[in-house]
Amino acid sequence: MAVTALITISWLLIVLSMLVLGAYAVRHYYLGYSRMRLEHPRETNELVGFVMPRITVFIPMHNEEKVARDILQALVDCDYDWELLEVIPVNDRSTDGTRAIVDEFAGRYPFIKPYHRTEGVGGKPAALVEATELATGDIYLMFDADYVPGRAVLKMLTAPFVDPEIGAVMGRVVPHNIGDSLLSGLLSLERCAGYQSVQQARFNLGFTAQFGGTVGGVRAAALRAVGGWNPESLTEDTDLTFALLLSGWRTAYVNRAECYEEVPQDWAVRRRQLSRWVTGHTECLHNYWPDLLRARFLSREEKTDALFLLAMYLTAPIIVIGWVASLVLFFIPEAHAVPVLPVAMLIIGYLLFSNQATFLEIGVATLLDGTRLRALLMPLSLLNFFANTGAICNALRKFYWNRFWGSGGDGWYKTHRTRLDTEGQAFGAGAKPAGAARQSVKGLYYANNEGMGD
Amino acid sequence: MQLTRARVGIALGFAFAVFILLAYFAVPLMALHSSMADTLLRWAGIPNAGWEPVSVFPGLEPGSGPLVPVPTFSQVSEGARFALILGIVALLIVARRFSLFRNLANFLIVLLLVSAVVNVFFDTFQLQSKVFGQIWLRQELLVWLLMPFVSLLLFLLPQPNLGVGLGWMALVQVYGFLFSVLRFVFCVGMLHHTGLLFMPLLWFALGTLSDLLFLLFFYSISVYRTSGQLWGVRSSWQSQL
Amino acid sequence: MAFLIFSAIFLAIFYLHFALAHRAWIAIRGKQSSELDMGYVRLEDYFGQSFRRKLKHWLATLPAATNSTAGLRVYDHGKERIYVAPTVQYPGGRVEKEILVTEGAFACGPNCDFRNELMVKGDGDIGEGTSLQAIAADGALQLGEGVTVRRWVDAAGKLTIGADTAIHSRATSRTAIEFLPGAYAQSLFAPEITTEGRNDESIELSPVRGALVQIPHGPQETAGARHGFDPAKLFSMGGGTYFYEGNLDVTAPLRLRAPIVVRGHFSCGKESLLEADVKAHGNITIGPASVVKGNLVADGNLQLKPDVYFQSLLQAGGEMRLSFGVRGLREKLPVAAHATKAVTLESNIVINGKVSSANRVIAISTPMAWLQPNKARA
Repeated sequence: MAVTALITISWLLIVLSMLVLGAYAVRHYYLGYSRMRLEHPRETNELVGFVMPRITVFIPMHNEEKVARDILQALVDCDYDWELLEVIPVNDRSTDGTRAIVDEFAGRYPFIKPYHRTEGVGGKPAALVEATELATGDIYLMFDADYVPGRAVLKMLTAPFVDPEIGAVMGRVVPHNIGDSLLSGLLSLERCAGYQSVQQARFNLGFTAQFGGTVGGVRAAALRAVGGWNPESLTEDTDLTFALLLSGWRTAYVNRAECYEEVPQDWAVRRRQLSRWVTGHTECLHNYWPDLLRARFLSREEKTDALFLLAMYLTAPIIVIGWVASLVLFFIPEAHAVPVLPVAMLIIGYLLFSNQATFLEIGVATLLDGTRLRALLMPLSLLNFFANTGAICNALRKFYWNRFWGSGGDGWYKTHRTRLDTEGQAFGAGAKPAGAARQSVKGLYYANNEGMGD
Repeated sequence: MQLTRARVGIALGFAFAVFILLAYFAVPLMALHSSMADTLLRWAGIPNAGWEPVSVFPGLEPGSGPLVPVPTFSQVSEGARFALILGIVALLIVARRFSLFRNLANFLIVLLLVSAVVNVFFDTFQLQSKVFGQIWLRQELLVWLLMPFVSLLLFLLPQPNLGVGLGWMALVQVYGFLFSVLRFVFCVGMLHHTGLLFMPLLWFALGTLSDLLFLLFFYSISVYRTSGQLWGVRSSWQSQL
Repeated sequence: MAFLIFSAIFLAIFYLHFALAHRAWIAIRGKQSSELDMGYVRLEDYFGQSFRRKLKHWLATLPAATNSTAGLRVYDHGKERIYVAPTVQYPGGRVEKEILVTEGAFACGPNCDFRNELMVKGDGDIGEGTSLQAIAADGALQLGEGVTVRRWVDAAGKLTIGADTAIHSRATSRTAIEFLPGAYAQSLFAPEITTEGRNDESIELSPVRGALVQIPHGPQETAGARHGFDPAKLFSMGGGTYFYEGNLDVTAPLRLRAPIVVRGHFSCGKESLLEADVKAHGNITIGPASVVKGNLVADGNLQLKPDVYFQSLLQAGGEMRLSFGVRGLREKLPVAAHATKAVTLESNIVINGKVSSANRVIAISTPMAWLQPNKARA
């Protein structure tokens, strides 16, 4: 009797696992193949440089002396008209040399207006809430301090705001330190798939992209409309994406607005990062799913996609449940006699197809980026898969434990930076002109006509 | 890349054709699997008293499972028990030293511990090699049957050249078969020498996970080779945007 | 023992599945990504300027220059050659395989074939039916009827694109582009782009409007549909932006005062005044002689009826059609119009900025019936 019950429960769990992961697999294949068509019906690249609103760029900083100079210089070198640009480095209680670096730049460039924060609740969302009150731009763009934007990124990120329905925009994050550790190499594959394949495919298909809180921006009016940043959220970016979506605003994705980032190179840092994402994301799921289902602005497909996105971290424990259930069945001889071909076929099919699906996205992204050597790392990314699954399960366990007992979870913390180069030019050395001159309007569209100049 | 209806139709047609072919020759395929496994078992010095018919799926002629002696926990050698402890210690070291492997290693340790507990408390519980053969064939036969459709998605459609895609499809299919024989023989060998001690771990690692692994291996090579052909290098297509 | 050997072989084969990954990792280890071009900026005349830069560099650095009797200088550049001549006038039917640079003017007769790039430091005149790889001119450039350019065209002076000429990539000028009927290109960019039959006298650029429908509406207009606008379907998204449920087809002059997202098609009557952005999930059609100050974004097709004056940006996920007499210009910045499918430009169009398509921008002749006084059309 007990054995029969165990078999039945195990089968039910496998079926649950199959249904959930099978649905995600279908979504992965759909997105992967959709991206392969390379169609961009909503692309705004041709309008880059023609949409020139007044913008405010926020750079949240907390003890960023290693990287502050790079990003400030990169923003100075951008080809955005300085008269329409305002940069607010948000120095959040730094105790190192960040303040001096920021003040030095502010002294040289009038459009850099630092906000030094010495008290209050710590963390990026709380700092952004205060800094936003000082901003005068129509569009707010954001870069984490360890990111280095290319010269054209500001224009690229503002172009989608030509569309009044666009409330936020997200650019592409490209890992720079791919060779620092095996983990950073594997994370580069993951990021590549996440942006090049998934974000772009979803945007092409008319779904809202996910705002990531850096290399992105938000329309000031839209931010005000949804009540500003949520300082309570660990992932204020995801929170904003869905708050906007529920009010009818969409988030655009600009694949060409690429920016280097530094991915975690050791597992402890990665685990903490993942833990924050899982907690924040799942919190958003709980906060938003009822409203999402009721939202009148959204089609059925959009609602489904949004729920898939919000619930994605729940797949990790479901995978583990599936494994455990199949092992339980392995130990019970009575369970070996499952002779029904279609059922067995479904199980094996699900195991093969669902697990392959995410790798198709990596493959498509790698094909598009032409980073062929990294494609060979794919078998090793199984390790990343297991590591992520465990870390996500653990984060979810903590989240639900805290939620059940009403205790507070982890606070917001900064991802550890490892960059040592403080002399600028850390990324793509020599690529940018130092101290680019102010651009004339004409210079925004034409190259300097060198003619033949004999 | 243009995924035209014609292209998708042709690729689907190929996948279905291979599927039908495999389904039609399922019984000879299983026989070939057993025959190759038999040879390898002999080379590996595993005593096999013969092959007995096992029912794989109703309506299908039976396949066959090997008759290899399998010891219970009390019968396994000290060496096998020592190997179990050594395996756990090795995985512990891996988990401690290589953080990226930690979760996988921890999961494998759990499998070994559960296996040890089951063996210690249910000494009479045995997995006959014939039954293992039956489970294996059920799983792998389905993998072979489904493989054309996996190939369709991973190798056939993304290839600019349909012929090359078909080549990949054939390669993956043949390799999947051969790799299955190899894994099966290794598992049966371990079953013979260590009883059930390592079987959960092996079932997890060398079952469909290994099918996934070899697919990933070939997929990574296929992406590596195709990269640059499909859309050109990054800068060339980006400049068009 | 035999099983131990077998196990060792098996484990070696198993490892082989990771071997390439391992090798790739060893190759990557310690390296940093350099895949991004951090200095990239988007420039409309990138192709022409990039070619000029490269050419200048080659002519300054290539070692061997052979003097010929006709004052022709020849530079060897790998498999190709660069000819530099003072001025050139080719008869019809000439075939040229090398890169050609002229210090002065350049002209060629009909049906020539230039299989490599052309650089003209003076004015250029390309005969009808000629086939070109790409051409950059420091002076004015005239492409005759039925010319085919496989890549780009860039001119510092006025660029005239003759009837039925095909440019498979971008056409740019620092002065003006005249785009004649039947010609097509992927994109056009110039301080002034015109199509045939330009007639500025009939155009009224700042008309006084008497709108019948206003959006957002006043408090007295909350009930009932008026001229196609139903206030009950209008909702605030916050931030001063509205969305409209379903199609919004206003049959009277409309004054739009706030950004609106229409979850269907959008159209407005003649002489409307759109002061804010419009997004439609379907098509957008702007009535004749309207003034558009906000951006127009359509997921479907976008059409500006005759004599519409836009001071903004236009984007269409489908096709775009700019009718007779459309004007596009604004202060400080150029305007731009982009569609995923074809963009059709009728006669008497003037646009200060850019027109582009992921497919093609094509000029057509407006039927003579349109070529009548402004009021009659409206």
